Amino acid sequence: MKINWPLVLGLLLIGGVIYLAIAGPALAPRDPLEENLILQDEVTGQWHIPPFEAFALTGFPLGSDEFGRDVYSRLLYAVRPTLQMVLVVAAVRLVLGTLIGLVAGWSTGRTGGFFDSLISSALALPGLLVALGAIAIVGVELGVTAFIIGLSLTGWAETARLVREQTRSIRSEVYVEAAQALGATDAQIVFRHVVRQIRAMLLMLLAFEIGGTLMLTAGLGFLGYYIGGDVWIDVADFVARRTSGSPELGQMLATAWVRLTDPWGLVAVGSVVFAAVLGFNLIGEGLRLRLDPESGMIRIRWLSDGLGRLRLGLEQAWYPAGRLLFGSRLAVSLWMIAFGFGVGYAAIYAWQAGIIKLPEPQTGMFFEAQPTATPTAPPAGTGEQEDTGAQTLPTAPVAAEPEGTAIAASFRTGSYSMVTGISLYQVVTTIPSSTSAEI
Amino acid sequence: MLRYFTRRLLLIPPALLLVNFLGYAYAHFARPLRAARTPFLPFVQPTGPLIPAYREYLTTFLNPELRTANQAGVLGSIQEATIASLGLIAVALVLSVLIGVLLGLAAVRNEPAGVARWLTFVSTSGLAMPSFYIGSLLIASSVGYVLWAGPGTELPFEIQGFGWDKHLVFPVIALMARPTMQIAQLTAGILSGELSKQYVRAGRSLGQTWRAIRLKYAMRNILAPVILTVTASFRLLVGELVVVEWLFAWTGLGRLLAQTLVPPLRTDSAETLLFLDPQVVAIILTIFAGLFLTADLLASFAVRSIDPRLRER
Repeated sequence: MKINWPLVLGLLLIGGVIYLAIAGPALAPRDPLEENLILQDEVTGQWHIPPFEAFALTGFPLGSDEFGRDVYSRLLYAVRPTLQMVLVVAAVRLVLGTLIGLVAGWSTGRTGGFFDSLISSALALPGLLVALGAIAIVGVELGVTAFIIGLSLTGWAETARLVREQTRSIRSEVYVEAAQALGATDAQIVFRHVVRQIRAMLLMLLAFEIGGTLMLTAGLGFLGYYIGGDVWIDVADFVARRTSGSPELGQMLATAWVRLTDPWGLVAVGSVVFAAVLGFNLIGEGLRLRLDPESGMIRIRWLSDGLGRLRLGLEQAWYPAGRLLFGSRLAVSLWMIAFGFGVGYAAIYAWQAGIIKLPEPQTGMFFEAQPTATPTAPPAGTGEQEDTGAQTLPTAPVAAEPEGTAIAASFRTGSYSMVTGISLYQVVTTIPSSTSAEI
Repeated sequence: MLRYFTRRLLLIPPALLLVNFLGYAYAHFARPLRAARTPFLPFVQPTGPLIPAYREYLTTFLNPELRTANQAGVLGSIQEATIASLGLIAVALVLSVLIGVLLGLAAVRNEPAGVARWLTFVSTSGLAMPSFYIGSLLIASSVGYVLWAGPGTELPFEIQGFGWDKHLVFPVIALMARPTMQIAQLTAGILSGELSKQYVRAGRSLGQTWRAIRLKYAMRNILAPVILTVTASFRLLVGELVVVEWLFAWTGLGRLLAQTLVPPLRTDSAETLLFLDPQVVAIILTIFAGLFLTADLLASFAVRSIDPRLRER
């Protein structure tokens, strides 16, 4: 009897990551969107301009990106959206892979051959290159959909291969032959027998899928494709600049390493990605060991027996109820209509409540600078003051400052607040490199 | 076997031509599509029909006399990038195979046959490490060393740029980490399965040493699947190439491909010209496809040479 250490360690790691995803925003000391043009360290009295180095400025333990946004706070905010997106993509990949694997494993002749070739071709292509190509054409403006398309195009192949092998081995079992002899159709056998046999494996595959998807997502983010990316701002008549907004792990990987000698931000974000991928892979490995009867892993007998009895009782209770509720085509049709109404009602309710938002009609992503949106200075004495160590000076209208002037400003911008980005960009480029030393 | 390889060899040129056409067609349609949606490529000319454009591209590229100065420059850059990438891949692959196989062999227990638990954790950790993370750790340790040693200290290994010297060390380590773990894991799994077979027990009862059984019998039997694993690792390695070359500014094919598929930060940068350029995309994808097909062919040849059971197929 052995303890399933991979499963235990994986659950601990993922527990930590889920905690970060849930409680991260509450733990963040700063607003992740707050941009800082220049800050004075209240301990050392030194002035700093972005990107702030790690461990150099009080209140910015991991430094900042090029807009002066706190990397530590952004990291705490970033786990949740990334994890949500990865879960959706992994689920899509799993469903696709399972369906294709079932068909490939069950079919014979030309259909089987076609699906075999399809799986082999998808396995032969590097996932990152396919995803890069797909997202390059679809564009990240589509949000999560772009990642679902890019990462699922060939990402289902590994799951499909494993499901196909399992389906083929189940196909030759005696009980399948018996079911065929009793007149069961292929669909009935696949869903009643094959799916039932492989569903334990699907949980393991889901864990591996999440790990793999997260790894690919991080790679894409590092190269510059991330959720909410590809927002463009006008810098001059003929120059536009790509920028980034709300915190997400991929986006942070793309923007955390600004200065060659300051890779700590990239290491911190990479560590979170590594911990999450490792956790999911360990869970997958632990579940694989759990499914292997020769591994001798500990089973909590009273729990598994109890769950088995509970499932049997539910099945016995469900059988007559199921016959009554789904026994005829009419009943099934009525249920489907009711389900359709339910989904429609839920969608309308969610839209009205503002839970889901329909995309705004856009003529393009080329935003024009609007002078009205320039941040204005607050009344004297009411400037934003931070309580995390670094002294933050009152907001100032930055665009009007002359070249070379030391500007102290701290303001918050939304994900797509282009105008602030332009102002910041212009000001940062007009400050000579010697300014911080002079200050 | 000769017929099999002749057929495979004859299939390669049409397959490459197909990939080249698909790559060209992809960028031909994607470029104006992206330009319409972003401020990107504001100077993109409306593209004509695909087939005449592709025919013209093929004619000019295949005939050196008809090539424009731009096309000659593109071909020169791609040639240099190919050499840079192939060198990196070759070094990383050789080291991955050596270290991976040795790790796999070291992790297998003879009696009872099984894989040591440390390999599970080492390989799971290694496979969970994205190459950019390994690269960033290497860079951070370098920077940390310089900060610790004081001003005037040189970096032990270069962290950016291309060169067949110290520049090679970090990209190779970042590139080979995951393939090494994959090879180690699979080698150990296959060897462990082989050592639990009946003939091993028979060999032991006849007085053969474990060393002799491993080297004479088990290794020969597992060589074919190990070679197939190495081919799979090669694909993984080529996939990682894009990220590693991007991180270390290695001027190879992976970086070039990333530049053609990822918009640069500013539209006035020189890289804008590369973004979704049909000619560049088509050539790079053809080179990658050529690498995969060659690796696959060599692996098939090696496997069939080693395992007589496969020769008849």
